[in-house]
Amino acid sequence: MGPARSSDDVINCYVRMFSTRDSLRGSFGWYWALDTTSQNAQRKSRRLTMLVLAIGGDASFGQNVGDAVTAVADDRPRPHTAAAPRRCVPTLGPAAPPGSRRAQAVNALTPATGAGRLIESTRTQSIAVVEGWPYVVSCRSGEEPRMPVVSRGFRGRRRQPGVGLVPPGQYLVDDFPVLSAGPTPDVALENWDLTVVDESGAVLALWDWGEFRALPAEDVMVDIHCVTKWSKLGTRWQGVSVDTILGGIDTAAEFAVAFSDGGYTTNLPLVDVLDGQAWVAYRFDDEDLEPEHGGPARLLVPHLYFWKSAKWLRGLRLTSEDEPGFWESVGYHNYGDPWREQRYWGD
Amino acid sequence: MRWLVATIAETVPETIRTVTLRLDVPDWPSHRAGQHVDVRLTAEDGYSAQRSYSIASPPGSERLELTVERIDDGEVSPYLTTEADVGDQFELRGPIGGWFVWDGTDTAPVLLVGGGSGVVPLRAIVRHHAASGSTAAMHLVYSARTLGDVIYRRELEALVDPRRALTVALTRESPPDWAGHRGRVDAGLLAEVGWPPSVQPHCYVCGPTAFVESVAGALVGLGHQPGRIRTERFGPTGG
Amino acid sequence: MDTSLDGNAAAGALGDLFSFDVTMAVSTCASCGDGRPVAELRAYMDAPGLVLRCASCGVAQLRLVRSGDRAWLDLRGMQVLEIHGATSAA
Repeated sequence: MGPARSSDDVINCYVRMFSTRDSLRGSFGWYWALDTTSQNAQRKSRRLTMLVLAIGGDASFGQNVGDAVTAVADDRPRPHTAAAPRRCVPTLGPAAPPGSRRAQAVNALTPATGAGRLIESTRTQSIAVVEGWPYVVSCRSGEEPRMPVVSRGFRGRRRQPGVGLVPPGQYLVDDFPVLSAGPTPDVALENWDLTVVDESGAVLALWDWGEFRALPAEDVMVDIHCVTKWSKLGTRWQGVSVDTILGGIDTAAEFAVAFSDGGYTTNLPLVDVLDGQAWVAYRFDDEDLEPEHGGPARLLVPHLYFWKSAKWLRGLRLTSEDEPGFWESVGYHNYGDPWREQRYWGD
Repeated sequence: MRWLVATIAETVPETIRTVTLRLDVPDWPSHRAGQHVDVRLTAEDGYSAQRSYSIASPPGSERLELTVERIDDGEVSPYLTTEADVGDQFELRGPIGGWFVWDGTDTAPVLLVGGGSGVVPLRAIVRHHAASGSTAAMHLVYSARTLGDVIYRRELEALVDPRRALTVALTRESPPDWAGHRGRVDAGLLAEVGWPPSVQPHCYVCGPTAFVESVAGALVGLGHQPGRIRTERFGPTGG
Repeated sequence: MDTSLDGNAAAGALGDLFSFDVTMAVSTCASCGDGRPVAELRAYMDAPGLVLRCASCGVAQLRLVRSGDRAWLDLRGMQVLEIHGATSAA
């Protein structure tokens, strides 16, 4: 069975359906059928002003979503007679970079490309019709915003809504924004070293630049998510796995503090930098890592918000207690899981 | 400080890269010469970007004026200089900043040094000096790449009088009959047109970060007290 | 490359929190003792939060993070803040 193309009359039908007040009430029916993450639970208790299908997390991709949406739609009166398709497909945006999470999800969902068509885009959501199903590709919680004044014709940096495969609240960008909390350090490679120290400051391991570059390195492709809401998919780095850095070290420590030139620190559970989850990266996109992006070497921990990927890394301090770092001690979330939108304290 | 709605009443091209926006801002409180505003633009999908711009108009003008220089790969300035038109709106917050201001309440001489779009708040100060009838001696040193890049040229020349002097330095190219300064603003020029440190002039330096640091360094090198020098860095690209 | 601005550039963001113009107040650095108006500190505006650094030793004197109607302010880098009269901006 190949993907059916959506016909114009099906699309027009959905546009009419979702532009009436009654259909907005009907959207609650859709809502209840879906995966109940804590975000969705919050949204249920707030007044929704827009049609929302809350999609997020691994459980929402693929068969789960298709079945859930189908089940709810079946008991909802429809003014048209098109047969309900059995699959949902993430829509729109450029082709997913091979190997990225987005590509994996798309491949799991459809045997072939089933591109949909954007039928309506509002301030906070887009509604696309894919294989005959309406599918909201990004959503916001129903807080009552004070409406800022929209400036006619202002677009801002090139970006796209997060299409299912970025964490909630994120958008995709083409460029690589530089955010700095201080001046770019200027360190000569002959003066650079990377150390692992224990709580008392005793050096457990040390590499100078030559020794560090001689360590076995990996090429990785990862998605990165900044707490300021931009994401980049399929970024390519070369670096030394933290498993290698910590490999020869015996420790009972449960936490690590990454420290950098310029005084920046960030804290992580030790388990989050092991098992192939973290690298000390020195090349980005086939070139030496530029100073403004953290060169000569930075920490790379893509499963957490990017402030945890400390630029200008000089070492890891292993600690038995968790010590909030530069941003964690002034409002940013101590752990920082983008998929649970852990941006600030209390999230 | 809350966000106010600004409506563009007029757009005035100043140079190839700069445009002055004359704004109607209901509930605008008065401001001081040298202050700035934060501007916020919101796109249809809720994305917003924010930038600071110096106020180009002196206190008491009919409309609030901002002069924006277009940064080619910028996010906000291309919109404000090429897309935004009469009737368009955005949000702004201000007036902001008590540091980089000149009120004219004392009569010490004032040395103003601006690079590129750094002349914007200094123009507000010069116009305020003229409108208030201040007796303080004032000298504006304005550095631009070429004659075509000099913002407010006619206006600044027309404001020259025994108490307000103007020196324009062209750094990249100048007409053959150019009577102003050729080359960068350096210690030599500052010593020539400014006042000796013993006079304790107020110094205001504004423009791209590298320009500000170079000029402030030169002034300190000439013996001016750092405490009498107020700087407004516009960042690496100059705002 | 240093992307810092003068502390004066942070007056708008700080004006949301303080009832006086904090950029006109004089801070003493808790690390090196340098004293100067907050307007003369080095402001890093691009970060996930606002950072004001000592113009002398570079230590972060002030850090501010905003989220909607929540804000976190860390002034541990300032030994003391000396405030003169009602120095409001307007």
